Parts: sequence; C-alpha cells; structure tokens
Amino acid sequence: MATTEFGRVLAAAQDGAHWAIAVLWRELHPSLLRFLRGLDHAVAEDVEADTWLVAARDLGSFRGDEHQFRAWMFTIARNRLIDTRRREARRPSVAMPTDALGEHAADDDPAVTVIDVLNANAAIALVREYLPPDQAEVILLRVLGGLDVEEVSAIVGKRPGNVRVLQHRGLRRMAERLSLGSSERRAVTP
Amino acid sequence: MTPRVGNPSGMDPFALDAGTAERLVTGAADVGDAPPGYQDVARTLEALRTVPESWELADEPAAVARIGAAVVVRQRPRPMRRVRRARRSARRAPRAAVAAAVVVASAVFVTGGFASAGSLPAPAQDAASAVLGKVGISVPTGNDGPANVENPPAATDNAPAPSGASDPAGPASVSPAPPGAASPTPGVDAAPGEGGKTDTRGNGQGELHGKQHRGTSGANANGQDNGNPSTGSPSQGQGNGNNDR
Repeated sequence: MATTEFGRVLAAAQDGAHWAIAVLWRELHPSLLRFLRGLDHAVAEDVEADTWLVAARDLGSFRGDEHQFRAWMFTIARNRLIDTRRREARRPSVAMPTDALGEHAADDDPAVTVIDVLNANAAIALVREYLPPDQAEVILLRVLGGLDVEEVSAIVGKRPGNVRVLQHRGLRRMAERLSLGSSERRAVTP
Repeated sequence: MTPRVGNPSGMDPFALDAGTAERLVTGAADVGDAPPGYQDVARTLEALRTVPESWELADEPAAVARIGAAVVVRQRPRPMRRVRRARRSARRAPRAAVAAAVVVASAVFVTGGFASAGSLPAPAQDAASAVLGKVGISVPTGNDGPANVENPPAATDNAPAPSGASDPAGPASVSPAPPGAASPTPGVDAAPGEGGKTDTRGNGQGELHGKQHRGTSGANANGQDNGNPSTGSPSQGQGNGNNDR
C-alpha cells in the first residue's frame, strides 16, 4: 500500500469508516492470526479478535506510517497474548491423560506433512513444533510482520544482538529438524 | 575437532552467515537461492508469507462491524467529557455547601459568644442585642456590660458620690446615725481635704457607712473597707481613694 494511500485509509478508519477498517483488516488479519497461531494455537483467534478491539479503541491516537502501524499491531497482539496466558495460568486446570492426546492428532501434524505441498497452516505448525517460543517469536515477527531487527527487539524487549542470535539459532534448528524429517521421509518412501 | 557423523567433508552442513539468514527471513532469497541445508527452511518461510486463503478472510463482515463499533465509541470523547465534568461539579457541590455551612456556623457561634460577653464594638453590640433580643436572647447593649466592668463606679472620695444610683443604701445609712454617738471634731476630720468627706460626720458615721457598703456594693465596700473609718485619718482616706481609682 502506498504511503499516501495508507494515510488516507488510516484517517478514514480513525473516523470509523468501515471500508477503511476492512482494508486494514484484510491487510493485517492473516499475518496477525498466523503469528498468534505460531505461538499459541489454542487462544490465537480470541487473542486476535481482542487485538483488533484494543487497536480500535486507540486508533484515534495512532500516528505513523504503514510500517509503524504493522509494528504497533503486532505489539498489541503480543501483549494481549501474554495477558491471556497469565489469565489462563491463574485458572485451575484439569490434567488430561497423555494417552488421550495421541488419539487426537492434528490434521496439520508436521510429522505427516509433505514439505513439497506445504501451506501456511503446516508451516505455522512446523515453526511451533520445532522451535522454542523465543526463537519462534522472533522468526514469526520478522517473516509475518515484515519487521526489522530493531523493531523486533523493541517488541520483545531484547537487544538487537540477542534478536539476531535467536533468529540465527532458530533458522539453524529448523534446518536441522527439517533435514531430519526429509531423511525419514526418504527412508519411508522408496 | 571431531567431524560430524555423516559429514565426511568435515564442514558444517548447516553453517549460516548473517547475510544469508537476513535474506531468508526477509524473503530476498527464494528456495533456489538458499544454501543446500536451508532449502526446506526457505520453503517453510515462503509458505508463511503466502497470500491468505479464503477461509482466513471469511469472518471479515462481522469483524469489521465489531471493530467499527469500537472505533465509533472512541470517537465520542467530547460529550463524554462534558458529562464527566458535570458529574464532577455535581459531586463537588455538596462539599462546597458543607464547607460554607461550617464557616457560617462558626461565624455565628463566635459572634454570638462575643455578643453574649458584651465584647463586641458598641455598634455591633447594639445590633447583636437588637437581633438576639427579637428571638428571646438577651445580651447587653453597647452602653452597658464591659464598659461598667472596665470603669466601675468608684465610691472614691474624689468623685461626687452618685449615691442615688449606685448606692441606694448610702443616704439611708447616714440618717440613722445616732446622735452623739461620736463627738465630731470638725477641725481634725474635715480640714485635710476631699478624703475626709465621708468622715465629716465623725467616726461613728464613717464606720456605719462602711458597714452599709459592705453589704450593698462591692466596689464601694472595698473602698470603705480599706479605709479606717474609726480613726477618720485624712491621710488614710486619701490613700484609699487613690487606690480604688
């Protein structure tokens, strides 16, 4: 979206124009939902909806370009996810037997995913499955948010050097795990 | 350093430099440009960036309506501020009224106290007396009260005795003096001066006068008590009169 175009859309959205809100939503909703699903699949949709409501409440006070708007939205999404996790942690939980989990394998289980026909859902599942949360968060913010190292460091509260290290380790870990999976697939498929 | 198992060349198959990592995450390096060990990674990251599928945008109308409602709510700050200000002023009004009532009550209490003590200035005392008199409370006017206390009617020998007003027993006490009870010696008692006025009738009258005053008026009684009417000494009479003043 061009800068002037984004400014016009943002101004209209701040006035409550539904067409402008729809433009912003179509632009950011898929990335935000994928980012949240990559970190926590169970609460992603609720947190994403909550993110938009928080953003709508503060939309009138936002000043910046499209890039800053993306960073702002991902910051809100991350903060809402942290709040939701804290809230969930305070609730009493009932332990589920591990045998029951094996009976309900997800459709996008990365173990059965064929890399050649990988779609967004499967890619998200791979990231969530293979990477620790801090590495997954950095890589998803960089890839889905289109944010640079400094912006990601500001969002996650780490120094840019630490963000680069997490990104490097995450990519390497993904490569190792995917390579291992490819070997297994080759062994299974003659 | 021991080479990795399965990598006879001794090179790390997953070695990654910072530039390549940056190109991978930004999408500058596609699957064909990625290093051998990172082609699947590049494919995975590319899949993350794919255009949204239809099901991902299916909720658009409801979501936009929900967000639009939240934005519109945010757009009405001015009336809300006015209402809040009005509420604030309404909350503050009772406090101001209570404070004013406390101030007024304190002023009335203090003024009433001064008025009852007769300590106000004369015009204010008159006004307070008039106002409080209408509601059945009697307070001294500006002409009496503290003025009498500060300047008591001294029954001194110097002042002309206002016997009719302040000492009603005075004239009566003089007349019943028994004749001849004392032998007045005019040359001695009356001559020395003003202090001897009360003693002109002799020691017996002076003593009687003093006793009468003791029972009627404190101020006059003191004056007479300090004196020695039995002797009628002009020096003592003069001195007592000065002391009383």
